[in-house]
Amino acid sequence: MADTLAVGRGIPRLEAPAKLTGRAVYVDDIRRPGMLHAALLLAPHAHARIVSVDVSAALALPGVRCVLTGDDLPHRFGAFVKDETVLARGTVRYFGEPVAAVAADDLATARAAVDLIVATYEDRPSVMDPDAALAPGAPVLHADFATYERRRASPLPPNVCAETTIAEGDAEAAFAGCDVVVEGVFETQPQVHCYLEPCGAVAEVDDRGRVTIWSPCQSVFRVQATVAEALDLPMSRVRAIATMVGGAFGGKSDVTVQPAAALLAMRTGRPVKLVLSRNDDFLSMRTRHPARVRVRTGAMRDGTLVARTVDLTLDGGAYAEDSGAVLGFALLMARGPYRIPHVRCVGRAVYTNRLRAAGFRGYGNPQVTFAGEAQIDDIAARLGLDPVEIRLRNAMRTGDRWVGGQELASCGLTECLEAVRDAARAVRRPPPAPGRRRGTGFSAIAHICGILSTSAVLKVLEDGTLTLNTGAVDLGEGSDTVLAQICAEALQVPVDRVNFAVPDTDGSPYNWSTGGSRVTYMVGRAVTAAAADVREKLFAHAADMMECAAIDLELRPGGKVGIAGVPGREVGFRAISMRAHWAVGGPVIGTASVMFEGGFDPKRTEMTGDGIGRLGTYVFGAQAAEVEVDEATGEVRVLEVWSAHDVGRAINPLAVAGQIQGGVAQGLGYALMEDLVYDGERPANPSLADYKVPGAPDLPPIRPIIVEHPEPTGPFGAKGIGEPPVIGVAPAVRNAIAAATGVRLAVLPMTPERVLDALSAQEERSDDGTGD
Amino acid sequence: MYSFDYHKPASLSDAAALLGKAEEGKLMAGGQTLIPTLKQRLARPTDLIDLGAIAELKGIKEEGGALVIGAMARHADVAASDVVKRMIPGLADLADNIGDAQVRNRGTIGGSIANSDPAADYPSAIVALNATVHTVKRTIAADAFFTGMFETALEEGEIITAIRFPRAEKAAYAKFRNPASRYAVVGAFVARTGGSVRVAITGAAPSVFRWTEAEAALSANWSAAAIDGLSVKADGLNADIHASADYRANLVKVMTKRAVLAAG
Repeated sequence: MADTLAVGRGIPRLEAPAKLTGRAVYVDDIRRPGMLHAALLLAPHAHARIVSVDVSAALALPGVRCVLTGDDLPHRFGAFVKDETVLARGTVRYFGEPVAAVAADDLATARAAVDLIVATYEDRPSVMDPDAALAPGAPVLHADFATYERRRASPLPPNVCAETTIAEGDAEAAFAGCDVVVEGVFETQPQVHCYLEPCGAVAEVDDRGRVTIWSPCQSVFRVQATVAEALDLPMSRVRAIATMVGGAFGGKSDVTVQPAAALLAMRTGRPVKLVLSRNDDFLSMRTRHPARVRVRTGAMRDGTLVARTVDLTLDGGAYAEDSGAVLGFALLMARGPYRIPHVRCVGRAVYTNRLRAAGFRGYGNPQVTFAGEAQIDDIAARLGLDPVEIRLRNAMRTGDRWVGGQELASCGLTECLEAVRDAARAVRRPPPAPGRRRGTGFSAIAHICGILSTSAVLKVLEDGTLTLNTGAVDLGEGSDTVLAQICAEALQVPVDRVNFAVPDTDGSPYNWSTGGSRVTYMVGRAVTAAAADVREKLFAHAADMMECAAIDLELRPGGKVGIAGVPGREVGFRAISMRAHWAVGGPVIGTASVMFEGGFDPKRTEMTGDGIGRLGTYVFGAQAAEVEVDEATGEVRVLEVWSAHDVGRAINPLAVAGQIQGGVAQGLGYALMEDLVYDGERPANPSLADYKVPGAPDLPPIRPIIVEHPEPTGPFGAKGIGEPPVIGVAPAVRNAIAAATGVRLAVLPMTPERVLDALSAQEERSDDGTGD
Repeated sequence: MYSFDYHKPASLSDAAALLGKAEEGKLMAGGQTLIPTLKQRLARPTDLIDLGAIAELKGIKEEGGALVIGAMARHADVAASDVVKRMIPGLADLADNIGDAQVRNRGTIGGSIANSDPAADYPSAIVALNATVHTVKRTIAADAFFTGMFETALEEGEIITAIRFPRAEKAAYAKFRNPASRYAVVGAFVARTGGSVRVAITGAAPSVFRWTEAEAALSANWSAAAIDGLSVKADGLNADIHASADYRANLVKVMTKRAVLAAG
């Protein structure tokens, strides 16, 4: 690889010292003069008519400045279906839905006031899962659904908020020609985002009536747009600024508590801080979509995959949020990264009286990949084939087409599969203790990075250093560092000469969101394009200054422009920028706007539904897990995980490894332990004392393997790594359990009790002589 | 959390006086259950009386051939105590696996048994080792101490001062822990003391209980294999989001066997 200044180097995070010393400013650290503190009243019913909300006693409490109810916030919002209000109006649709908000002089008073609000409800029958919601005559969550503004206005059955079909070829006909057809039904659970930092916001109104909101979020622009919509304000009266973000994973993609904080600030004229307790965050925020996936896959005796059908039902919870797009994306991914010519994927997202489901690292892909990759192993077992061989035989390669027609510009899937296979099979361990069984399982994954538009502004300061402003929020993954590295490389300056601007809707150019594994790839493209713009402008000045043609100029390390082939003939960025600022032409500012141009091939593909517009470029990976199963308790201990990803080019290998390790950890939680369990209408474990997120002592060694097949459209060949590492962990673990014990699980999480039940059932079958 | 008055008396008599005066007083040992309860606003005491400064409640020592642990001994103290490790290493091991490091550095043995959480670890050791609970008023035998879920023989305001454990020949604890809280889904403490075997099970039922069938089997044959022929009925066992009663019944047997193996 050519010498690089910044790209390809595993430099530590720019913000690491601030985080490690506790100086990093999170939203709860913000103090403003005269600031009030807010708290929410959450509904104690999953489905009820609000008869009345009496706030008089709360308002009478000394120190209480404002109490809001649903009537104060009548405007509905939502990215795909405008079905949600900031506070429940008329009806509550999930246990924990905010009903009122209080601002007071201090938090204790605000919480005391919440206790004084007298809300009366008339309980309504609830629907707690999609089967109940879709049953004839089921209670309807949104009686006015037909009148809601929607992204796509086709008629839908009651309690359905989205339906999508993606198909190519003729799957049903193709099954008839297959040697083996395997069918299975797989179920996944609500996983809570469980970012370390609960949601919060500080809002303040200036003397012109404009509201500024500081919050941890994935997009200051979505906060601005949604707050404006929820409060019926012009966007120009809302300013959103990102604070340090303590993790998001999709849970801070849409607004959280910003609209309530903003209206409290507007009503009181004082700054207001609203930060959720962990308990309130669990009860009122979001989860990954629970899913039921029916998959049918047909193959030839030699393992060639021929056809696959998928029927997916997502539990969207009480409000649509991103459900339509999650559904569409899940179906687009449901074929898996294989050359399967006949595919038909059908799905729906259903309203239930649960916490709203949302995008969550993987965006529907972990659910369908759990099902699809489990089934690949089941087919391999049925045909007596090696599970890696069957995947290699069918793996997509560079130049192949995805469902919908997009051609793969780069695809390192084969190399990823071989890498995890070789790494996993090279390990030698002493045999397991009696009563424990060991096995290794594999999965192959594909995902997309890209999605929608973004932009960058790069300013050359008077001294020749740079300010890079992209509006991209770093959620903790290290994107500020990576984008600064891209910028530094593009202009051949040290990384510490690049100032990364805090995302602020007043000053930052538009960036859709930190989501969809897109920042390195999409914002990186905007940064390289803005840097190219800067370079061109610097060269124009340098050509004047050195009296030569711009075409003869080159960048030299350290922030200089020189005449190619003439050592010593050069001018520094500082000299150029001083000239531009004070003499000729004006300040040097580079700008770029980027939109991913994708789309569908309608001639070959049947496609109806939400969320499948322009997407992004495809990324590939493979994962392996070795597990040991305790036959007496069913406990699964993961011994080691290998995770290989084609990232195009690792801009910062240390950050890539960190993303892989974090994603695998989250995937292990999904595979084995995390589950927001409902006890009737209410979550039974809305606290970290009962909801288990794996911590460092719970994790095995995680081995990141970085594969680099440069992506032609990516910045320095790079593509995304944010989501992929979470996606294939559950099926790899499931397949490892199958390899160890023979039991083929279909429900997440794979708790000790579920594993033991399956082991017992297997034993009973073999006692009966009915086992295979 | 609601506001309250905080006291930290230096003697048992001062603590008793404060408790007597308080409108609704609560004694606090390590606070590992009480503080989360207050944070959840599930309790609203007027006064909190912290027992942490009372010297009489501290210390771990050997006394007349028995192990005496002060009520305010932290789990980390018990886990690290040379006296405990020498006399009843299985008890040190139990303490070393309670909760996490933060809990072990704050939580106390007296607080744990006074709370009588059905999933706490210590009750199984108290019962299996046939310990005696000493209070400001009297001594209470292990079998009489735990009376139900979050219930004990303690009277209102009665403060535990120490727990006295007879030395055991063999003793060990095995638990299947809740991955989140690290409480026992099921924990089994087995002990052989002077030819008598006691098996105490925590986590499985509303309160710690002795598994008498296992005690008889182990008395006849001290080995894990002695448990193989026994069966545990799920009736009356706890069932919650963490485990069904059937699963707990299986764990009672599995953890008892593992405790016997660990005890050697």
